[in-house]
This record gives sequence, C-alpha cells and structure tokens, in this order.
Amino acid sequence: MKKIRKRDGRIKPFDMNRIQDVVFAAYMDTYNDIPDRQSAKKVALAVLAICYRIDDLNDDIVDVETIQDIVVGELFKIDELVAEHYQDYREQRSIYRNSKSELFKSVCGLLDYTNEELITENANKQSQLVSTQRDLMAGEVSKYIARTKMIPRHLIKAHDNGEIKIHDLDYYLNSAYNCELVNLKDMLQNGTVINKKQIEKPKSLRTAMTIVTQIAAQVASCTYGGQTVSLSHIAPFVRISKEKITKKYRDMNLPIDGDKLNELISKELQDEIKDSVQTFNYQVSTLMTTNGQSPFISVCMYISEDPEYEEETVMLIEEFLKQRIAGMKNEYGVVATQTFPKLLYFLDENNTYPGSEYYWLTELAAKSTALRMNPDVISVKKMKEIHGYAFPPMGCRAFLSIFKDENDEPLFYGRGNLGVCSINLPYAALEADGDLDRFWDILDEKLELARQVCELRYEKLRGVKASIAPILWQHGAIARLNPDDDILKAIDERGFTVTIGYSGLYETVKYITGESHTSGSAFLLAKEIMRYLRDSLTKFKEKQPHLRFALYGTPQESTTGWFNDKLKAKFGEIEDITDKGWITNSYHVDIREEIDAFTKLNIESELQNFSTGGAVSYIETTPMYKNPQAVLKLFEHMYETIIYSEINFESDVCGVCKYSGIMDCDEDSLNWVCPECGNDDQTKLSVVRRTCGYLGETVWTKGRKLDIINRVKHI
Amino acid sequence: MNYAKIIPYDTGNWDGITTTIFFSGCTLNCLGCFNKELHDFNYGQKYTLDVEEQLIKYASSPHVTGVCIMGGEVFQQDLDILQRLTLRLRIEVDKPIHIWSGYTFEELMKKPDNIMVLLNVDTLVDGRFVLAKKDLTLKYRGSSNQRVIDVQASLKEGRAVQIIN
Repeated sequence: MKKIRKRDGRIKPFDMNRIQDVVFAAYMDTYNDIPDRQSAKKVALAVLAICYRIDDLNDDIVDVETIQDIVVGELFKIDELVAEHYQDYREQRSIYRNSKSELFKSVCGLLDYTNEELITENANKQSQLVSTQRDLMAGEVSKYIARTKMIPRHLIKAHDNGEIKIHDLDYYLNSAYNCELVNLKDMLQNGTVINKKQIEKPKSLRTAMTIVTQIAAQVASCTYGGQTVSLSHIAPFVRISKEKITKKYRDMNLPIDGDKLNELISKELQDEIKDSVQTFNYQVSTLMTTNGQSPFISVCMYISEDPEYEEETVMLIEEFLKQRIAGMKNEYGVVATQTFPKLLYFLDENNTYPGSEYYWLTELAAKSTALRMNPDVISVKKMKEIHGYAFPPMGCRAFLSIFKDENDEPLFYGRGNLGVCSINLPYAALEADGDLDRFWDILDEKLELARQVCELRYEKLRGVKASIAPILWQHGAIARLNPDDDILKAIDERGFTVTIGYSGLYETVKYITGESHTSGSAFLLAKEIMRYLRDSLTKFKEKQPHLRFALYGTPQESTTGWFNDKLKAKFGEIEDITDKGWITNSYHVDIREEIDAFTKLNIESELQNFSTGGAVSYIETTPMYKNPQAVLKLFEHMYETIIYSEINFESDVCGVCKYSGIMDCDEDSLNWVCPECGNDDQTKLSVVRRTCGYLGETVWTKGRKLDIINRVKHI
Repeated sequence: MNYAKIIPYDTGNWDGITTTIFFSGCTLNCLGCFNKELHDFNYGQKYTLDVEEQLIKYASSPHVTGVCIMGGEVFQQDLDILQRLTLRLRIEVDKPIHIWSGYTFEELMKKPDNIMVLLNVDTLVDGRFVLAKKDLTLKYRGSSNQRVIDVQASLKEGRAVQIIN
C-alpha cells in the first residue's frame, strides 16, 4: 500500500477517492457542468491511469508534488483545457502557501530585527518601537491578503516582476486612501467632531492651533499618505485673537495714550502667535499616529491665498520661519534640522524680487532654507501657467488636477488622492531590447496594468460608509456626509484623483539612445515619453472620467533599490542602468551627472510640466548656512522656471562629540561615521537628508542610501 | 601665468553666487594653508585671453552676483594682466569684485602696481592665514587676524576701512 507525504510532513495512506474528487472538481471548474457520458468515461480513465502510475513508482512514500505532476500529465492526455485549469489552480495554491509562510517569516523578522527591507523601508518610521511594530505587522497582514485575495494574479505577477509597483500594499486591506488637502477652513469656521466630542469654532488663535494639531493627528491616522494644512485657514483666528486682546485692554481703561495701548496689544498678540506656532511645531514633531510615525504634514505658506487675511497670514508665516531658524533640540541637546512639518513657501509677484512688498519675508525664508533645508518653494507664476491656479501639493508632492464644483469654482481643500501605481519605465525599455517601436507597445501594456490597479483602488471603496473615518467624511476634513452615506459620493463630488507614477526616465532614455537625457535627441525622447504618458492618461480619463487619472513623478523612497534589484535579476547587470544600485527618481537628471543648478532646473522644468499629478526637482548644494543670499538667487530662478523645487545639502549632528557638519559614509558597510570622533553607532548620529519630498533621518534602504551618497553638487 | 580653476557658480566664498577664479602660485607658505597645491606657479592651465573671455561670460550670467579672485597669491601674479582683468570686469560685467591676499592692505599699498589693481576692486580679504587664529565660523576668511576691507573707502581715506570686525 502506497503512502503519501503531505506538505507539513505528515504521512497518510494513499486514497484513490481523493484523486477521483480532484479530477472531477477540475472538470467541473473548467466547464461549470457535470461531464457528459463521453467525458465521464475519459475522466474515469484518467483517474485509473493516475492510480496505476502512482502504483508503479519505486518509493513506498510519495510526495504530494509528485502526485500532482502525474495528475497534470494525465489530464493533458484527456483534455488540455482541464489540465491547464488544474495547473493554474495548483500555482495559485502554491503562491497562497508561500505567501503565508512569507508572512510568518516577515513578521518574525520584524520582531527579531532580521527583516532589513521592512525595517528600513520608510525613513520616518522607527521600527524598533512597539507601536511602530504593530503598524508594520498590520501592514504585512494587509500585503498578504491583498496579494492572495484582493488583487488579480496578473497584476501581482507584474508587481513581483518589478514591471509596476503597487504602492502601499501595507494599507491596501483598509478602506483608506493616500493623501489630501485638509479642509481646515471649513472645520475651524463651522466646527468639527473629534472622538465624538463636538468642537465649536475656536475663539482664539491659541485654541485654533491646538485643534489643528488634533485634526492633523486624526487625519493622519485615517490615511496612509501626507496631508497639507494652510496657514491662510488659520489666519482669521489671528484677527479674532487681536480683537479679543484689544477689547480686554480697552475695557481696562488704562491711563495711557493710543500708541502705547497699541504697543501692548501688539506685544500680547505676538506672544500668542509665538506660543501657538510653538505648540503646533512640538505637537507635530512629537505626536505618534496609529501609523506608527509622526503625521506627514506640510504647511502651506501662500501670502495671497486668502487676500482678506493677507496681513495675518504673513504674521503666521513669519513666526513659522523664525522658529524653524531657531531649530529644535534633538535628544542629545543639539539643535538639529527637524523633519516635520514640511514647509511650503510660495514665491509670488509680491515677494520674489528685491523691492517687492514681502521680500523681507522671503529673506527670512532663504535664511531658514540655508540652515534647515526648509521651506521648499512653489512658484505661483509657474503654477498659474501650467494649472491656471496656485495651490499646494498634498503632503509631499502629489498635486490635484483642476476640478470645479457645480458653481464652476475650482475646489482644492477637502480633496485627496486615492493611491498610486508606478511604472518602472526602464523595465519597458529593457524588455523592448532598446527598440523604440517595441518600447511604445510595451509601455502601453504597462500603462494598462497601472490603469487596472487604479481602477481597483477606486472600486474597493464602493459601498464603504462615511462612518469608517468620521473626521474625514462626516466632520469636514473632506466632506460632511451622513454616517451611512457612501464615501464614493464625496470622492466623486470632490474630484479625488488616482495616480499613475513613473520612474527611471534617465535609465530608459540612456538605454534606448546611449545618451543622458539632458541634451540633444535624448532630451527630445525624454519629452516625448513624458508627453506620451500624459496623453495616455488623458485617454484613460476620457473613457473613465470618474477615475481622474493624474501623472505622478514617483520618488520611490525604497522602490528605488527594489526596482533596480528586479531589473538586475531579470536583465542582468547593465552599465548605468542596473549596476548602480538605484533607479533614478521620476524624470530627474542622473544624480551623478555634472550639471549646474540653473541648467538642471531649466531641463527638469520642461519635463515636470507634463507631470501635473506631482513631481519635485532637487538642487544639491554645499551647505549654505553662511550664504542665504545664494538661496535668494536660486529662489528667483525657481520662481521663473519651475513649479516645485527643493534645495538639498547635508545637515548632520554627532550625538557623541556634538560635531555638526557632514557625516562620512563607510563604503563597505554603508554606515554613517562621524569624521570628528569616529563614532559609527548609528543610533547616536543624526544624519538628515532629502529622502523624497520629505526629509529623512539616518535610516534608509540600501538603494536609497547609495542614491543619497552619490549625489553630485549642482552649485 | 597659470590658474588652477574657475567655478562659474560659487556659493562658498562670498555672499550670493559668484564666479570665482583661483590663480596658481604663492611663496608666502602660511602654516596650515588649505590650498597647498596652488603654491606651485606651474599648477593648472595657462591663463589666456580665451580664458578671460570665458570668465567674463560666466560672470555676466544674470544668476551671478559678484566675482571672487583668489589664489595662490593674487598679487604675485602678472599685475598688468590682473589690472586688465579687473578693469574689464568693472566695465563689462559691473558686479562687485572681491580679492583675497596674504599681504595686508598696508603691505599692498607700498607698490603702485598693486594699487592699480585695487582701484577696480570692492573688497579685499587681507593678511596671512594664522593657524593659531583659525576660526571656521568666520565669514569670508579662515583666521581671525584676517580683515575684510572696503577697498574704495580705504583708498579714499588712506587707511584700511573694515567692513566687519
């Protein structure tokens, strides 16, 4: 009597009935019908043949996989369709089993610190913390279920090959979306509800600012991407506080003249602004959301966003800049560059050039950028040229597309993005073997895969009720729905976007033309690819207007190394393409290329213009602590050329010797080392670098770290 | 006469963005000098009229706010050429010119040729680098004995007028 060895090692007697069941089930599954007389005979013969062959085997104990091979072999003899069906089913079961054991391995690896990829994936998550570990564990479960139950196999396969990247699989299971512009104005003016507590319109700036931080934490916990709040929404409360303080002093009937009285009022208002901004800064930097990190929050500093409150907006911007310049002490007591909130300073007609009304504020912004790599700048001029309006990105870099309400007014706040799927452009170039005609065809295939992922993201929210995240859907951050309303109602009415990303334009053009995409025909091809991507999305949008596809320059935080590894595994080591350890961020110029800052921005702006769903350009500089005037000159050029850009340099502090300067990176271990005292304990070094749109600190994946240490200075 | 390099967009030596040229050759040999390879008068490439055209082109860029001339030792170069260069920069580019020298203002004043160069210059960072007085937090200079001098005011008054102390 034969025995079989099951996958878990148990040994059971061989049972012919099991074979019969399996073959019958495969037949039923293929034709959705019981076999007719003729077919039943074939099925019976196949079962017999299988049993004979098993009986003929030399071993007494047979592996279950061997039996499966025999089943497939015999099925092919009677009916190819049934055989293929069975084979498919078998593969799917195998993926399911593997990912189950991978899930186990992954979670254990997180807890015993051996799962390096997961631990370093997000530069802003401290994976040794128990709270962060719980978030990461939930993420692993989500990935597992998304891969095995929610996303069709051909998409998972494309993802696993590295053709596309389905981002944020760790939150796919939840009915959460990516990022948004918080409708703070509505929440503050009309009140909101937090944790079932009614929050009325605040009566002072101090209270308003505290509520804003509460909202930020709540919103961050309901989403997985970044959020942006605007100072112009908080500005009205500066006026309210001013009126309150004025009334207080007037009521005192102090025996002093008007000037003296105004001085007192102004002093008290200044103090309140200072306290409020400090509260915000400390709250945002110290809060821990349920995502196991501080909220990813950007602060929009657009002087003329609400002309009615321009003066108050300026007062808030000034205080934010002053406090950023003053800095925040890290755990070693050293003033270091803080990573959040990210500051977005808008360059406009009234603040870019010497002599303009608010140039003094831009001088303060430049001083802050020279010290702290923040604020980053947005050109109102370029925004209006490209989009028609000026508005901030959602958190890091994703921009909304223009969407108008029923009164033909453009909506920005209270809108968001559902999520991202990125195309690994070099994959298409390598698959096409560098042949341009084939490249376009293959790119079409990849675009279609990404489109399907985007559609899935939208469809999986169908039927989800507003009560899943009251702060977003019921209490104003996005909408004011009833608890039982479908969130898709708000998503449609407020024009959420869904994003197709791309990365590695440099590698793609380089592989096809042999040249860097900074000049000549290579640059023209780069533009053509960008135009093709944009036009393809326009076509998608025409067919499915409810999805509002947006083209997004993927920064690929950890994907940079992941894409590279996938390409290398599939196509081998290719000079400049897969031999570097990273794939270049979106449309960016090769980070190793010697190019000056102004030329780089000129070139990149032409590519960024197509990437309306988000993108940001970097300039790498030597530290500019002593030279904010140079930053001002860069700002002028940024205002004239490019929607959104950032200045990057090194900003490091050693926790042992307190040296602040630039840390070395050991070439073999890729560990940071203090050049002053030789300290290489990674937990006692604060190394701040631009990770993507956000700043990150000390910990990155290998691919991202290689990208960071190979960046060439542009000025 | 040789120069070591030209940086078209430099942010490390003066405020704003400058075009910066380093001339080769210096005999002062200050202890702890950060540019030792530039002591050799044969270091780098020959300074020609073409190089000068290129330098003026860089300096004329709207992004550039000034010009830095350093070395080596600027005042151990061919001063006729330097006079021509500074005059051309003054006329054709018209942006502030900053010069570094290991000599002090008073030492430079002793030679008319030096003065002919300084006539077109806005600021001078002067004096030897003194290792014992090294201070990296200072702007524009490496040691605290060095001065940042307003050249035009100093020439008028006949004494070194410092911009910052």
